[in-house]
Order: sequence, then C-alpha cells, then structure tokens
Amino acid sequence: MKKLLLLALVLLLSACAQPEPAQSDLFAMDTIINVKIWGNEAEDALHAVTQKINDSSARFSVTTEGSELYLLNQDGSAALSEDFSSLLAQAVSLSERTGGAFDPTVYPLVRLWGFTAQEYHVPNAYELEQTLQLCGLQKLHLFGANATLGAGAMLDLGAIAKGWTGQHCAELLESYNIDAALLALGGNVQTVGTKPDGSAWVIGIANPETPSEAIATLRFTGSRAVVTSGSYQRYFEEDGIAYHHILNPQSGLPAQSGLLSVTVIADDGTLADALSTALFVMGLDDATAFWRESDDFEAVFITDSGEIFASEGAASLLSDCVFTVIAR
Amino acid sequence: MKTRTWVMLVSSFAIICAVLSCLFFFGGESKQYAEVYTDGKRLQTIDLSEDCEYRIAYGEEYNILTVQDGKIAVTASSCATKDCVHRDYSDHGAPIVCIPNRLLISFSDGGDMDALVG
Repeated sequence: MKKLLLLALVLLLSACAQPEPAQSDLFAMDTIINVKIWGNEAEDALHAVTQKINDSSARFSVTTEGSELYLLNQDGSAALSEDFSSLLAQAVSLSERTGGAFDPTVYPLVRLWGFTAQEYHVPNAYELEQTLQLCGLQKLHLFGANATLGAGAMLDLGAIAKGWTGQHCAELLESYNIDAALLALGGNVQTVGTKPDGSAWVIGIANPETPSEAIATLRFTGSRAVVTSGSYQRYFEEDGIAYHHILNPQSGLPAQSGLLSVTVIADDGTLADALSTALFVMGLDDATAFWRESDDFEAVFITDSGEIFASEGAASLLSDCVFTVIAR
Repeated sequence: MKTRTWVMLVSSFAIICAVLSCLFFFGGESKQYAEVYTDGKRLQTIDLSEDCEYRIAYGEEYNILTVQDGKIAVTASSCATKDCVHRDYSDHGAPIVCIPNRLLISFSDGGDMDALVG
C-alpha cells in the first residue's frame, strides 16, 4: 500500500514538472531560427545544430560574398562541397519531378525584380524575355562534384536550403541522446521525436491576412517537416498592384495561381520546402493532381478567396478551421 | 508511517494541485509581458500594461518600441527594409522580428502552439 501511495506521489509530482528545453534563437539564413531540444544531451546537440545552421547559412547564401553559392554564381563553375552537392542534386531532382515549377535557376529573374537587394522593379516584356533565356535546368551542368553554369545563369537555393538544413539537423540529432526537438527556420518547421509530456506538436499555419496569427492548426506526434510558402511573405506594391516573390519560372512573373499559401507536411524537410513553392506555382488543380500521383507528402492550400483545402492526410491533422477535404 | 498519514499527505497534495490549477485557468486577469532579445540574448522584459517607449540599440543601429493600450510595436527603426515597423501592434502570436538589427520581441502568452509556419 505504501509503495502504491509513493508511486502515486511521484507520478503527481512528475506530471506537474515540465522539463525545460535547451534553446537558442539565431539570426541566420536571412531569417530568425528558433531551436528547442529536450533530453540528456540537449546542450551538446544544440551546439552541434547551431554549427550546422551557421555552416549552411555561410555556404548557401546567395548574397554573402565568398559563400559557396556566391562563388559559383560569380565564377560560373566550382568544385562543390559534399553538402552543396547533396543539396544541388536534390534541387535538380525536385525541379524535374515538378516539371520546373520549382526551379533553382531563377536567380536572374529574382534579381531582375529586385527581391534580393529589395530595390524593386517591375520589368517590361523585353527584360523578362531576355532574362528568361538565362534560366532553366539546361543551364546547369553537373559533373560529379563539379558544377558549371551557362553564360549569365545563376542559382538561388532560397526555396530549398532551409528545408535541407532542417532535415540535416534532424538527422544530426539522431546521434545524440535526446528526447525531442523543434526547429523553426522562418517558415520551415522540423519536429524530431515526441514532446516529453507526450502531447502532440501544435503547429499553426499563418493567416495570410494577419501573418502573425494562425488561421488553422496542425497537431501530430513524431518527426515531420512542415513548410509554408505564401505570397504575403515578401512583396512590394507599385501603382496599386502587389507583386510577390514566388515567381513562375515559365513566365518570369509572380505566380498568379489563385493561392495565397501552400503548406506541405512531409517526412523530408528538403522535399517539403521545394514542394511548397512548386505547388504554389502550380495552383490548386495541378497541385491536387500532383499530390494524387505522389505518396510522400500532404498539403494544405489557402486560396485567394480565403477557402482552405486539405489533402486527406493533412485533413486528419488539421483543426481550428473550416476546410474542404481533397480525396485521393 | 501509518497508511492514514500517507492518504492524507497524497490527498492534500492533490487538493493543492487542484487549487493551483483553478487559479491558473480561472484566476484573475494575468499581466501580459513581452520579452526583448537582441542577437539571441534577453535584454529585458516589458510589462505591456504600462504605456511607454523604449530605444533598443544594436551597435550603431536602433529600434524604437512603443507600448500602447496593452500592445507593443516597433514604431521606428534604422533598418533598411522597415519590415518590423510594418507589423501592427501585438500582444500575442508570432514574435516581432527585425532581422537586420537582430531584434526579437516574443510574448509570454504563447498559448499551446509550438510554432507558426508562414
């Protein structure tokens, strides 16, 4: 009896005590990154993850002079590091899989619109036509660990590098004795394991009208990546027209696909990041067809009329909103 | 120790937990705070119930934070983009961030949400 009562007391005490994670806020990869890690080796793991994020930031930045990407764009060719090769190979593969809706070669267009330097400019048809000729996967040549770019071609890994980094941080954490981790890299979230209290991860999807607040909530346990691409994230206005930063690689114009945001849920962070951009460019109908042909991701779409659509798998995780289920 | 003593001990503890839970969930209106970080280090905690203005320096750069009617906003900044200034007054939700000046303002009432994507 005494033992039972003691056990009850211990359980009550442990239920009231929530373990505190080791955590850090970093300014890297052009965003704010929050890392929380629970477990015995949380501090060591946090140190390792911080190093990985800073390394990715230095390697994949398109604007930092001396970064691996900067040098490739400047020189037109480079011998690639293992990490850069890995990321680029996945970028090419996902570009091919999405029929070019995700395209790592759009940097000349991004620069033309002024999104990098934030010196915005609405290009005319001639400028667009000339710049489109510099883009496309055929301008990128990979020979083992060496890459060469066609004349004037440049890469931008901004739509995939944070996802890749989150994924590789998650894999790095597997070598530490930790219980759980949450990595929030701007609009990218990567969960690892299950929270110490056993409750579900609660990930809000930003309301495109008021992005600091959630319009819907995803609840799940275990390790996943959740990534959102939205037209409200970066844009400028000229003559009363809003021009956002997600460019359609075919037209060179901001994608007008009828969507305000796409959230992708997947086991793989790199995949989720690239697909969130690709599905936004495709629009709801083509993205739905693409999802039906796939089995490695789920998605939540918010249309420009404010309606929310969720693929079957995403629907089972979605709450706090009214939505339409997309059946397989 | 007698069984009765143990029963009383555990019962008392359970009652204290219940009372604390009631106070937490149904107690009086709690104060709202904003935590201000620069470069990942906590600089100060701001009580949002008192209207005030703060100048946060980061090297040569600065942000002006204004607390008004229980909410806080960045009302001026030396940064080029001014994204932080465009965010409305807030008292909850996603943190207010000025990436160029490495400023982060987070809220004490984060609800049960672990993260926000978008």
